[in-house]
Amino acid sequence: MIGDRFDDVLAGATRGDEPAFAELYRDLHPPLLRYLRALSWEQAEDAASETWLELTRSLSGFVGAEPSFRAWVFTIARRKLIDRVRYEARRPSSAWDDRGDPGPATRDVADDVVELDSTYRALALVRALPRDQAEAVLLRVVGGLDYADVAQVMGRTTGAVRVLVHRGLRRLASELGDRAEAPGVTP
Amino acid sequence: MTGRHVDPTETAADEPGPDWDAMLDGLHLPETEDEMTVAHLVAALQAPGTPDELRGAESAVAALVAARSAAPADSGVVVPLASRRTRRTGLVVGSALVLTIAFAGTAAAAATGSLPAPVQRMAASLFGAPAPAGDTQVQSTGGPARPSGQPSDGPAAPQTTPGSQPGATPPAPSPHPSTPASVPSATSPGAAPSTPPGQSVRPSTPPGQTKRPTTGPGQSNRPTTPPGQTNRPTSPPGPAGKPHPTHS
Repeated sequence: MIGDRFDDVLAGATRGDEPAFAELYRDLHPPLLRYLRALSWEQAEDAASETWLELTRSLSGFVGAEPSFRAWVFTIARRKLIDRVRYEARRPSSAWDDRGDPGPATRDVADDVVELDSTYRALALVRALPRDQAEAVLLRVVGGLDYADVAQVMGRTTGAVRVLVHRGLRRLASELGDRAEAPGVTP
Repeated sequence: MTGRHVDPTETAADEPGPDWDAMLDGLHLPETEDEMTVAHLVAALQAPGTPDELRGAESAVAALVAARSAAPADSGVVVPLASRRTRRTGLVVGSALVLTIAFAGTAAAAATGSLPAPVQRMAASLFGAPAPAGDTQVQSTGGPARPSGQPSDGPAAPQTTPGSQPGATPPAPSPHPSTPASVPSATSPGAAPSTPPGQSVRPSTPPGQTKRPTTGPGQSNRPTTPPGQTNRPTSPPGPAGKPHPTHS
């Protein structure tokens, strides 16, 4: 999150100021890419690029604070991902079932605990959740959105996404705890 | 993405457990083992961008800034989601209101006979609205282009009121709204012989009835079919058919 300087950064990016745009990009692109990769690894890069292009075109018209801006960005990203998956896949499996696998999820589960500080391994753990829980956790934790914004992005109610996030986190804690108790694994 | 709007978890009661919200907001330090495990996971998910994620950031930013410079300044107004939803609802309601008012106004005008004669005639035949004043024979024949010189217009003239007389409506598209078919015929070359020079084409508008200052009794046919111009078609045959000789 950029914080108090967000208005200045956004104004600079809107004017085409490259440093301001770079700050916006460096702040938003990593969580955006993590969110998209967790949902569809193969389409994530393209969806992120299309998101930034649309964001660039519409930047001057945005009115709102940083939380609204982030919710707007993730809404665009979600829509771009849906469009890409529908266009590219054309097969029965849905985007959420075809999330691709970059590798970390297939490695030894012990590594997930030992190297929990690895962002990719954390992402792989989240991706193992049911799709709704995974998306809610990602928007809440990675995107930094509050429950109301997560609900708007996902088209759910605030209460529903809150339950999804809680269950997802509880499930992650349970699975990680089980793995930590496995023989030969040190948490 | 899946189109599933009914979530069974939506109605499920949330079981008691760690205060995840407070922990995510940094208001509660992890204490239990579960909380500490999740806290590690959250920290990893929220870590700064990795070199892989920021690979090519400079070129991407440069391209986006260039695209931003090329984009129009007002290439769309973006407002938060809630405002967009409110604006869309307002647009639908406003459109419906405008359509309702327009329909009601037209219906009221038709009921009072205030519409232009052709439209009023159509409303009379469709909805039972009153026919235009002095137009009973026209309505019975159903044809807007009645033969000129019929005496039916004469007796109808005294019955017309200023509000209902077609000639008294300024925005009427034709100087002779009661005979709309004659106007396009006068402007089209193919219909020019129907108004031969020297013939008074509108005996149906006697001098005592006409209230149009621009078309006096002796000038009733001048604006539409001047005698000297009826044989001057806009696209004369032969060499005059090339209006732009510079175009080769």
